[in-house]
Amino acid sequence: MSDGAALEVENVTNALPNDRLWGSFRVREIEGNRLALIGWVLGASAEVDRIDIVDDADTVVATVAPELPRTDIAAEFPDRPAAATCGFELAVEAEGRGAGHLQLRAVFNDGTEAPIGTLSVTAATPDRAA
Amino acid sequence: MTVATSVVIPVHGRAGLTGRCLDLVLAGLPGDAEVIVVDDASPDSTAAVLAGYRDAIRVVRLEENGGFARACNAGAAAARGGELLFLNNDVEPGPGWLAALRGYLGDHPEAASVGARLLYPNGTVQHAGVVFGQDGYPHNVYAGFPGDHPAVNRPRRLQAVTGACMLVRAGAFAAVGGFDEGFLNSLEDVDLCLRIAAAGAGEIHYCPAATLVHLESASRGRRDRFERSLALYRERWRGRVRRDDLDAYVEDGLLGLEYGPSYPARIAVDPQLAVVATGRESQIERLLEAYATQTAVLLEEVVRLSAEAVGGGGAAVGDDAASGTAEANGAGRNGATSDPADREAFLARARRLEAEVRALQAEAPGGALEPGPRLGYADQVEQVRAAVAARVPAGAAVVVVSRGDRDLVRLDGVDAGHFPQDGAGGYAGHHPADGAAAIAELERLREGGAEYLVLPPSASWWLEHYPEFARHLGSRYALLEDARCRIYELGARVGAAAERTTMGA
Repeated sequence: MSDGAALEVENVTNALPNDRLWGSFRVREIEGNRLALIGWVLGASAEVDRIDIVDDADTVVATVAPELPRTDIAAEFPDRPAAATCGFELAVEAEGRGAGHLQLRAVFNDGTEAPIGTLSVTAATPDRAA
Repeated sequence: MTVATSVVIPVHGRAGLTGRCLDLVLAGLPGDAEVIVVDDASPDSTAAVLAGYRDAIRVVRLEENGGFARACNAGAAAARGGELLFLNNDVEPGPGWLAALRGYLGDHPEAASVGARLLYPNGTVQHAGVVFGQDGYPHNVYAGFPGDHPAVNRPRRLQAVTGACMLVRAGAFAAVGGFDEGFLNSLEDVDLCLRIAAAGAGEIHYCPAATLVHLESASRGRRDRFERSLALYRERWRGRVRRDDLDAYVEDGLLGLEYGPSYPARIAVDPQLAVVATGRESQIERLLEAYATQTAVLLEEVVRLSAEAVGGGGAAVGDDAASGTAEANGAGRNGATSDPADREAFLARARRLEAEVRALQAEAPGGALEPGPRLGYADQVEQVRAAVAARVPAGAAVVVVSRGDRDLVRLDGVDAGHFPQDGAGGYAGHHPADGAAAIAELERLREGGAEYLVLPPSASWWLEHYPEFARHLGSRYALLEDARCRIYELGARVGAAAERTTMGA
């Protein structure tokens, strides 16, 4: 059962900000085999259409639209309407044990992409006998 | 739209799994099918994930978690189809899975329910039907076998199949009142199948053409209150079910009993099916346990990561969110469960197990996992090889009566194949239905070039079981005398071959 797995964040590689994408993200909390990520993204010139989360097999395992309200970012970028709702939050869940990675990529409305960052996690067994 | 099939997926949490499952189900969904997800009071973001599928699915929401049976019944009550397809959210359907199940049910009007082949992610069998053991309890037959084993890929009638993927006629389901909610997250599927059959509502079948990957242990709560369900099963069925596991093994050619004029009889068992221990039980059990533990630990190194959106536009992130353009998000262990000692402990355990397995192997020269000396199956194979090498000319085409064992057709210097064969020349996967079928297969292969038929001792029961076949062989083809096995020369008539044998002796 994966219920007993303890998810551990080994590393977070942050590609933000870069020449195409502004923003930030961080791990908000870890609970058992789930962790919550939170952040915001704003395209430097194009608008961000969605965020793809990609696993080690280069498969898109989830897509998140940046649509959570961010009044703080809106205040920083008053000329960018998209800034008002550029927040996102997502939950990562691990099944099984071992190490894995997730890449976060922003996909712009013109179809191009920019990296957000990479998350390296391990799912460990706290107590095999449990 | 007229709905033919209602896919009912009960879920309790694990929104990520549910999303993956739904994506795959919806990708190949026929136009006359609907998908009903029963949200069994999920504590996570399942509701939000399901909302994202909008009109592609129907959602039945239960306020209190009631378990698999109750959720399935709720889904069935909302279903419009004449067929109900119960599906776990921890499966990944393979190509054509639903068409295969529907087609099977359409072709078998006597069947009320049909189950699928479920494989673990590593390709081994999780479910190929349910048989009832000599202990009276249900077992997933051939669990752990390679997914492509002939015995796993035979459609067949059984007494029960798993509810992880089960297509059942709505009429039969209703006739028995659906799943018994007295079962909690185990055995309710077996109970349903047994009640359907007992009520005369139809047969239970297994259709291997429908294949799904099952992440069995990932389902939440499947083992909850197992004892209660087990007690209910014991009270209701244990003394009534037909204990049919041995029938399946014999039918699939994995187990045989060879009779002689006096006892002891000889039991022939496929090494993949069972290990026979004679005085070495303890050592073998220890070795098997060590193997199993080692495998389990290695499997732990497979992690599947999924992700899902949280919130979805409603909730404000507020001050808790990553904020400010200059904020840095460096590497973070977050302090929650970080402990490098865990990994070291895992590696140390794996190393200890490896050493233990090696030590046990060293204690058992000759291979503790081979059949015991009384059984001698491996020796028997060697004897057959030696007999063929001695009696059959090099380059001859030979067919060997087998149960699909590749070792039996690895014969030096001759062109060997199984008997009977499938269309592609591989093992047919089953014994002939009767003597006439055996004769027809023999003549087909003979006309195709087969020159010799080898009957190993493990198959000598054929001559009693198929008397027509025995008469056919005896009256038409020469038997090359050999104590190690029977070899029939298909190109020579009885008299001529006997003459040659005498002259050559």
